[in-house]
Amino acid sequence: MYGVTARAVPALLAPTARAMSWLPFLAAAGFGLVIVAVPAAMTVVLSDEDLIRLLRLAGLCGAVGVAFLLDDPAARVIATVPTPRVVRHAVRAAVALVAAALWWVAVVAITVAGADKEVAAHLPVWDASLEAVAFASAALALAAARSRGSGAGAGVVAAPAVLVLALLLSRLPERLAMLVAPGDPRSDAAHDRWAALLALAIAGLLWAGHEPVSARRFRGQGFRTSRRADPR
Amino acid sequence: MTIAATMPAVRASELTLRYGRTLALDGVAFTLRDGVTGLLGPNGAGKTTLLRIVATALAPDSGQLTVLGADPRTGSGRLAVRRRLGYLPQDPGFHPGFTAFEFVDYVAILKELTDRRARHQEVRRVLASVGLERQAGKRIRALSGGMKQRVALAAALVGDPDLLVLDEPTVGLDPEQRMRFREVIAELGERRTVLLSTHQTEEVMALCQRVIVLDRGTVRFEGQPGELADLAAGRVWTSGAREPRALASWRTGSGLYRHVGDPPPGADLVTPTVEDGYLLFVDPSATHGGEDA
Amino acid sequence: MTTSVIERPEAATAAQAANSRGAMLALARVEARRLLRHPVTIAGLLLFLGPMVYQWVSGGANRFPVLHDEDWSKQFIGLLTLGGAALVAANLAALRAHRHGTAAQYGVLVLPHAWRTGAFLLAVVPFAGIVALLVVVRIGLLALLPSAAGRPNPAELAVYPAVVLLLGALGVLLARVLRTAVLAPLVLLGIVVFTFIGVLGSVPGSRYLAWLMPVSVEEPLMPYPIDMMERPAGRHLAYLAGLIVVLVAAALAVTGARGRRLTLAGAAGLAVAVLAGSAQYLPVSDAVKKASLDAVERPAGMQTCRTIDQVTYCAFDDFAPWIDGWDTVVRGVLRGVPEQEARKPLAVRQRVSTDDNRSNGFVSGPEDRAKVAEVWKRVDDAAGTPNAVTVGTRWGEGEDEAGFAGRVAFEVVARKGPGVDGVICGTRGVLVGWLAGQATPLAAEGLREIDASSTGGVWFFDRSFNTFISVSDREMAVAKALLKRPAAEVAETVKRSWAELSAAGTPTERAGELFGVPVPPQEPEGERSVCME
Repeated sequence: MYGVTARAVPALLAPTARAMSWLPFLAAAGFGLVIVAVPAAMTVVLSDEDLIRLLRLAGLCGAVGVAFLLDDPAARVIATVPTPRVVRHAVRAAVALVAAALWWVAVVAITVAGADKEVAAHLPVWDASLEAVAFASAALALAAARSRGSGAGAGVVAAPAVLVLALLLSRLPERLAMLVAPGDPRSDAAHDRWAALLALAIAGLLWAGHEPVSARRFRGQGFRTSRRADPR
Repeated sequence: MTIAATMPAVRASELTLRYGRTLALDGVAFTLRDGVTGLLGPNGAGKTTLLRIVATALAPDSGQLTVLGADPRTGSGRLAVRRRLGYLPQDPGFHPGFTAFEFVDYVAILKELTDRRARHQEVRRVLASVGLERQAGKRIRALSGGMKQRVALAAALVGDPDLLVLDEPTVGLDPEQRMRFREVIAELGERRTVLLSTHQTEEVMALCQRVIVLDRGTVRFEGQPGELADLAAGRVWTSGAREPRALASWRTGSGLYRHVGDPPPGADLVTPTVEDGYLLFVDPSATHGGEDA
Repeated sequence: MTTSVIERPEAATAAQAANSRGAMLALARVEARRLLRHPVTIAGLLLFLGPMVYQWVSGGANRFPVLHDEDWSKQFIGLLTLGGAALVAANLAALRAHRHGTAAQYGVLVLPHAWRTGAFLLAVVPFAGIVALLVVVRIGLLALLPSAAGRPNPAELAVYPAVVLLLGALGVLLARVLRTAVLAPLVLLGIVVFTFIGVLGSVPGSRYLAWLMPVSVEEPLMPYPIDMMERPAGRHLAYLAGLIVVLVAAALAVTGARGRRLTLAGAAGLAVAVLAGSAQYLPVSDAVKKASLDAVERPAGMQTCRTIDQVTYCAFDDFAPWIDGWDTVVRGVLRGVPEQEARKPLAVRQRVSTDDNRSNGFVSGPEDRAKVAEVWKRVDDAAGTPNAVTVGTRWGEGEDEAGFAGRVAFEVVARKGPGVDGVICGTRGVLVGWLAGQATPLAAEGLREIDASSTGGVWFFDRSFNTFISVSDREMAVAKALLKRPAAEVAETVKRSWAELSAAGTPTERAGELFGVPVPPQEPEGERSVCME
């Protein structure tokens, strides 16, 4: 019965990509590139720990940008179309993640190219990529959860929320540490936790797509959930 | 059309919904048939909430609801409803960089019109039906408020839906645009079910075959506009001075004061309007409830 | 009313300004309350305080704080959590009118745009006040600990609220310049990146960047006595204050405020920022240089000494409250030693080092270490406390106690003085491992931590110095077996066989025989550690 919906997906890709607010993402992605490109262009030799730290900060920039990609000023108009919310979100998320993936490849390539050969050979880029994907997915999930209340302004909430999440991870007690240095004996355990965070984010993204929205989940947001959310 | 005359498009009973401590809908029950039904009520009466529930955008906490013969609380039922539904939200948003055509086309894709040629034809048809043929290629950010509202209506009309849910569709329109809107909606109401919310009683009189008055989450009245007006029969009068005991009292263009309420003996009674009836219902001090409707 | 306006226009404008001021203050109050209630603010406060409170509640907090280190060492996390919250929340508040499409309504209101911006700026002040209060309460609680060393620097403490004000003003300014909410999080990340680059030794000129950021994370090698502190705290605070004034003036100016006073204030702020900003790079004062030299070469003059029984402890004046803590560990070690050995005079001296070997990864050659040992010996001989055991300026963690206990034990066993380094073999190694492990519960915990995180034996080093002594795995295995037994029972055998166990060259197997503990086989020739004689 979702056959018709499935056929709508390819037709949706182009207009959805156009409808997304790219400017915040481009700003954030550009800044992320600068973070890794400037040290790479300078003739400084950075340790693997420093490079991973830069990659993490760049990844966080990407996540902040991605958080704005679910912003949809027309959300109220299309709230009741047959194409389910989860499909609409998935199409947006797919477009966002493809763009973010291309950008991330560039970030990693610049980092590796600018690094000392010895260091670059042992740089845990896959671990760093897992962290970046987890951050970006968390950003999407937060934005999707937020956009259940109102379509506009999801990124405004999700972007700071991602930063709060990153700070939270940086302040975890030692035995739960997630932002570990390369070569740290806790690295494997930490990246199991990163994978769990990624899974959680994807689950959250799917949850945020379920319909219909029940008023109970928005208790306290006031009477006018259909209109603009409580201004903050 | 597709709905048999005997089969109501929407049947609701005991709809209840809370936002936190606020009881937005308290046991709302009504049925909708072909034709235009107006939903009247003061601000905060629950009109938008009720429309969002009928339009499957929001789920009620409890109660029974059948829309176009399906249960919108199940996935398949919701899909079935949405394929035959047009919804114009209050305060619609747009992608300002899109042209009117592109935006409606985008919504059409989301309404599963996947065949490109047929879809474009449909988009042109709905834009024409709201009188926007010539503005189709204009960017939405360049359109006036009334034109934007018409773009949103066009988006709701895509796919020739059997049920149209319109939340304050004429807000912000000038009188001429409003007339045009009325024409479009009245024509639509000839063949399908239209539910629209409004603050304007003359619009109800002009457009609606039926009217529902909602106040503080409950249905106060359900019936024909004429019946609503008739309820105020014998309770509207004119005189030469302000009447402090009346529910409402205002000086009209003729210089006489018009009053709604319990008239003094020998008062100069006049024919009531829909507005008079409505005032009797929603005024907190009105003695008559909606039970008799 | 009209006539009065005509007659006394300046009075009317004055009244109008007073009205505007009143409205601005009223608006600022409303906005301040919103800012404090904002989820980002609450999250920032929780993230700042949460881990600290958790550490105290769970008992993992260091009970020997260095107050002149604690005052600034949380500045970076304060910048991220509190400053970040101020930046994002103030930015969103100032963008609110635009985000919710009410800008057009507000645009025609009586209160001019600049005054409204002023209200957003003022709204950050109560948050900064709360931050100041939190920081003072925190350092006050630390100072109440009987074992707190040093004293906090008010200028360092004032940096926390200053950073909140600075980033709050930056948030408002950003909102007024570019109407997008993506900017504030990115600017925060940018500040993190530059702060971090500021401490990368390998980036040329990074030191200059470090102090131009709101907070410098430049870390000294170890906590030093206050006289040696090189941080330009006061000048940095002045720099921040200048920046705040510049940002406030800029935010008001872009929203249409004009006037001589604003220009003057902006210029003054800029001047202070530039002057104080450059003054941060003035060379270290002669007094500090002299203190640094003295602390290494002639520490006795800066130290307080106290003799408890026959053990003399010499601490830098700021660190004198730690002597009791050291004494606990020394008593713990001496408990396992024969009476006549424990009675011998012993000295403990706190030392600092100013040789920064961090950039080459703590590598120092034997000749460097010999030079250090030479200086230490000279200091001890001159002060009449020969062979003083070294203790550093970090204290309170298990590793600190274990390292110190190991060095005290080695001194008692071998009487060789400080500055010796190498691998302790044979029964001496067993003895040092056991004495250190049984000294105090925290030392035992520290020894386990060191053992778990190191390979090829256990290293008894102070985190601040490059000299170390170590006991290899084979001897440690015996020592760990002994640590599982009741201390008194082991102590009895140790005291009886002290002469044999403490003699250099007694093989480990002998300890195994004496205590009935299996000894792991020798490592093959070549992988064996080179023992010190």
